[in-house]
Amino acid sequence: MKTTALADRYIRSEDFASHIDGVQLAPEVWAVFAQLHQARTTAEMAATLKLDLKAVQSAVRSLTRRKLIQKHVLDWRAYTASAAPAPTTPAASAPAAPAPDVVVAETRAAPVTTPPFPASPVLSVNVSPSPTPSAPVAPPPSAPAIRFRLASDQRRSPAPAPAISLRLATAGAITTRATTSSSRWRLRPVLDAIGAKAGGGLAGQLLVYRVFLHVPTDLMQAGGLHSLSLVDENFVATHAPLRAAIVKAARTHAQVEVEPLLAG
Amino acid sequence: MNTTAFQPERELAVFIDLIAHYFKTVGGSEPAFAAPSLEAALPAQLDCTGYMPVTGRLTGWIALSLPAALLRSLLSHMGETQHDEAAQLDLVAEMAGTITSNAREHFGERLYVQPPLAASADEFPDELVPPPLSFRLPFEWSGEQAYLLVAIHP
Repeated sequence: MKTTALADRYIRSEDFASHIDGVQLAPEVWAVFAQLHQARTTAEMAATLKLDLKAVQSAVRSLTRRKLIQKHVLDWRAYTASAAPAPTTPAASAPAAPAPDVVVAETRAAPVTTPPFPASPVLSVNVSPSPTPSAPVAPPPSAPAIRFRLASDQRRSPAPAPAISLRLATAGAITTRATTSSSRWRLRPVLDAIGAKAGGGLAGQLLVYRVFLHVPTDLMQAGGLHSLSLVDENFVATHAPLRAAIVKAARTHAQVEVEPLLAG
Repeated sequence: MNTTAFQPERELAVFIDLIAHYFKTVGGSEPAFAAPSLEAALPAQLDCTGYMPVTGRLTGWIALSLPAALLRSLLSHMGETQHDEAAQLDLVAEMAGTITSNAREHFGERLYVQPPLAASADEFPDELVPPPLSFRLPFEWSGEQAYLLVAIHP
């Protein structure tokens, strides 16, 4: 199904108005939509809007998935009656996009994600764990670049693994349940105290999450903390550096002093 | 009581409320949330996942991962006749779009909610960076298990 998609013309759906409320899209995507009051190919729009062809294709998919546009098709009678769609650009020759591996998705728009936002989602520069009420807000990206996911064999493979791995259902999931000794460093009271700082409930659990985000991953791994149910009553931290990191994170990010909790 | 110090938690909880509201409004009943967990590795994605990136006071993304059976059930409930994978992805995209749209209304400029992404189980958006730890909140709707994932960077 190579590049036939490039020859397709698109046009606004007849019922686009019923799908458009609440839809938020990048300006470039709306620019594409604005072009489709009449049938156009992606190549035509890329030339008109001076956008990258891939960006236009991505926008088309995004719009199609939201049912705002559709492929422009006619039956023969309609075609002959309307003297044919206006420009006769032979899209098959698609001069604007010679790149051989930009073989765009399939005949349908759906399965490929079309993410119209900046390449690097503003990583954790603002490590501002204690937000101030008037903290400045990161401005929205002004003209979000539309990035495009290529549909090739390579792309179909599961996400490359860097930080992603599947969670083991049972075995590896969790924990060092203390079987030993004197150091009964149960995590439950710590979790409860942190949660209480945010009023308990879901907000409290989310605060626990935010605190544990500041516990170094390597220490969590070393301490056997791969997956922790927030209602777990039994987890005992036996790894001293992990305990120290939890104490520090709780103090810094939730103003919770852990040691007194454990003393009793 | 310090009411401002934990605003991020409340803001994240808003997403959960919005998801519950979506199911109640569109599907007729709220999902039943179960106990959350912290996950050092990203949980395996279910059949379709909608990702909702956020920036501003928090940076990361919230994901809604749903099995095909749940999506088919929801599509049926909505009166849709097409239940294939494309329709399921469309629905996830719509859900994420609705939720992010409502979230934008709620947050204003406090939190910038970016356009959502939808992906099938074997895809993970290149644009998203997995955090060192995520917050997994399982829920059940119409007898099917799904989950919400909060993935925020420190």
